[in-house]
Amino acid sequence: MADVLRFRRAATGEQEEIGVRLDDVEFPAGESLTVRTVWLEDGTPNGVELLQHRPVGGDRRQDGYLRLDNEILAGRRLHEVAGWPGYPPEVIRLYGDECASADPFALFEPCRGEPLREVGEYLDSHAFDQFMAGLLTALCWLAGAGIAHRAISPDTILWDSDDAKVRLTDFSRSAPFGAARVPVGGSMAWVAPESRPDTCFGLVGPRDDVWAAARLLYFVRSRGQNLENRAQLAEIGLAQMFNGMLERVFGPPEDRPTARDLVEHGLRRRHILPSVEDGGKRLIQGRASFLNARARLRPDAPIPVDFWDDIIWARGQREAGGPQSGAG
Amino acid sequence: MSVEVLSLSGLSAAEAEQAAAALLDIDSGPDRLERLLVLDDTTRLGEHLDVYQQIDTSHRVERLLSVTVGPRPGEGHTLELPGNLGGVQGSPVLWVGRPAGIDWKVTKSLVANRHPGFTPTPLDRHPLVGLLSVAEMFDRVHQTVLESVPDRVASPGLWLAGEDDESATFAGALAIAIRRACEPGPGPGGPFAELMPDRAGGARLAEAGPLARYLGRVGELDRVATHTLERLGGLGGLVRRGAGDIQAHVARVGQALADLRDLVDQVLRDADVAGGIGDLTDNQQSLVRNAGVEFEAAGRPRPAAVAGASAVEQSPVFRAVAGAVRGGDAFQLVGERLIATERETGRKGSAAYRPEVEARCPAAFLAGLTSPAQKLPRRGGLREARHDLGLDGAATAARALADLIVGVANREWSPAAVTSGELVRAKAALDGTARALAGVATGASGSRGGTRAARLARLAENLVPVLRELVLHVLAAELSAPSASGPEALRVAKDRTGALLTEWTGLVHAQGVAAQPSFASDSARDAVQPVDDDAASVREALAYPVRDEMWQLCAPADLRALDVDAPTLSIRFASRLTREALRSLPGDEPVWTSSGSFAGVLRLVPLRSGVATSTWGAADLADPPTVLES
Repeated sequence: MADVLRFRRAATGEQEEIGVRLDDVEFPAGESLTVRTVWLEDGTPNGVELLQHRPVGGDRRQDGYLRLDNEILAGRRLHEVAGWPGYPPEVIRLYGDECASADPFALFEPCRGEPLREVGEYLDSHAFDQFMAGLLTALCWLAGAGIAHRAISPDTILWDSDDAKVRLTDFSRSAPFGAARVPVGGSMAWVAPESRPDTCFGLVGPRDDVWAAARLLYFVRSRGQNLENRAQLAEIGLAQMFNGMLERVFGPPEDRPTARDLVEHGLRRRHILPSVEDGGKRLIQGRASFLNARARLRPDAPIPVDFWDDIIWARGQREAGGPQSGAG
Repeated sequence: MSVEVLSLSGLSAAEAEQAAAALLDIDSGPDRLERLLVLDDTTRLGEHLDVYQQIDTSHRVERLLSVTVGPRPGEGHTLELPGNLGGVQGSPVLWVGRPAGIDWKVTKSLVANRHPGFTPTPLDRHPLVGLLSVAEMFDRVHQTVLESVPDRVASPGLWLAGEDDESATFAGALAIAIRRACEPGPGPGGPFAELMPDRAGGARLAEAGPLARYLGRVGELDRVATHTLERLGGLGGLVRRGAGDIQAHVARVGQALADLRDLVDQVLRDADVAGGIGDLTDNQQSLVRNAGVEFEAAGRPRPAAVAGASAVEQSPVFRAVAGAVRGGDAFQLVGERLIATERETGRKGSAAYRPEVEARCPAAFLAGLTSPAQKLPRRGGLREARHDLGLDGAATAARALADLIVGVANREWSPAAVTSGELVRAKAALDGTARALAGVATGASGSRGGTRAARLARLAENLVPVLRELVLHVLAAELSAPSASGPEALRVAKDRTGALLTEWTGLVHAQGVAAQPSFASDSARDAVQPVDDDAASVREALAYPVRDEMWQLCAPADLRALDVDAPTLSIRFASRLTREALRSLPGDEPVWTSSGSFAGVLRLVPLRSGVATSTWGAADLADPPTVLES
């Protein structure tokens, strides 16, 4: 008899219960999550193949919960702003999730492509242009959803050479704009100074990801080299390509251009910007209905202190005339 | 002096007859059939009776030797042969009961051991068939069986030099060769000069085109102005008599230069491909052509192209890489040079060069030439006058503008210029090959010390040229059928390398470590000679006691059919290349082969009396005599 999964489907927001076949083999997905293949039995011969992310057991399980929450939040927000049919192909798509039980999980559609660590140096100039546009477009979508990825690197970004598409994966360290930055470990080559353990400060915003994204552009353009100094951007033509704007990415976060700025004023390709609607009102409605539903079940449950932080932050940005999302 | 092979293995009666007819045909078959080696399945001999009759009655074959493969059919203990094979009058037969064979010592105890290291190969690649395909061996085996083997049927056994660890030897040597070829090493760095736009682009100004005409007009007017200056006798005369005249001439030069400058700037602007990504549109190509830029490649073959060479061998990228790789440069270094080349040849769109127009021919300088209020110099000869009037500067600027447009044409517009995609895919093909090779080298066990290590090292030295050809083979395949992207080229190169290594390894299993795969060039083949210290292992193999344990090509069940009491015959063989080194070898003279890479001993064990029967009659075949095997 097949196993049964109960989850909230991202496309509809409805709860579903469906028979599945589970792969016997489960792989680590980072330090705190695991991944395995599942096939939803939807009546088709092979079923729907999905990847199931789950927290690891043991002393890292708590961290696993947080990482999984981040993935689910990013996925849901992207669905809110893009919808199912308009979902950006540049970003891994959440199929559904179960976040309330003791054994939570997220279901993602399989993501085609290979890590840029493996294939980044083999993109010719035409493919590089597609990669560059795709990466910045993806960041615009994230900004539209009010999310920073915070782990952009050649290992988390894939390149699908069949479709000439970039794919952003691993949202386990992502955070909503306005949340206090928490330190991100890993190679200093890919973590911006404001997010490093020793120098972490401030709030997450639409300028966080462009630091690593610009380094990734250099990594691919230079055929696998890490950026050592800003002068190297000009040596391989990147500085000129962005009309001198890319160097500013490596300054303090508040002075950085957003991905949208880089596309519009650096590349001067406004036409590739995605049209992302402001999801603020819908977000507030969703949060409010969540609180109402919870209050009916648990009237005494306190509201988490940072529950409205991102929405308050976005409103503050709007009132100050700054980029509330950095999206199109 | 060659051996023709007729393989009937796996063929139906009709197919076999067709194959035989094609070979025996006096018009379309070989001129002479001095030696015919027939390969067949033991179980199909009856089905192929007509073919053997056909061979017999064709009167084309001088000497026939049969290798029949597989167990005796049914439950019978008889090896039933067509009438012209075996017996007292038939052609010699070697019965290979089991191609994988057994390890067996010729004794009455009849104990078979598994023969390690045999990889199933098609019958025509079996070492025995390879050996019998050598004319000298064919002749000796034919003669020996005819003269000395009862019923002319024998079970063959082989003892090959180095055969005991052939696979391991090759794997070890290959790993060393890979490390040697892939490790970073010295060599020229920087981009490939022959791939740079100025060498590969082939752009020039068409003689009758506007750009050349505008350039010529500047020169022509310059000459007129100079002639006028000469007539006036330098600056002194200029001051006295012809100031107005020379001013007009200089202004005309300035106007011609301005026309050239405008045309250059216009073409750079209108033939721009944003960011250099993509190709010129048809209109832009017309624009460039109509402005008077032409490309060598568009009109006739490149002069450096080698007549008769394949298309891919004429590819500038292939030739550059092949030159470096065959010259001994490390693969990694060659890859880095490709990327350096790509960096230098990268396109950015012709509009990016427009600032160069102003740098080479500043507007202020032009204004000075054409201004009627030009202040005339008052002293000096012709040279000073030309300089002071700006004529030298105008000539230099005109040439610089022409150089600019040709340079941009080479880099940005030339159909012959090497593209970023081509270079990246070539690099990906090299890297994919290197990664696949590295996987093999990592997986191979390390070499032990002593003479084996020395032999491996020498063998590895021989394999390196073949390895280089493997890399070039993969590159050529990529360049002739380009992948859609660099990552795909990487994947495909890995797969192709894996397939070529499999082919090579299979060939080595079948023919020995000196076997040459299809991708080895003639020069690589020449480079592979028997390793010196092989002579020692050949000597050892040739001295191997003939009744000791060796690779007998039969099944354990066939041992009872062999006559262990009869004298065991043996034929020693070695390459003619080792003859000198083996001069003092005691015993019978070996067969010195002119081709092939084998050395060792072929053992022929006769069958027990009555095991093999020869007949033409189907009825007889259906009712074989009973033979007792004890």
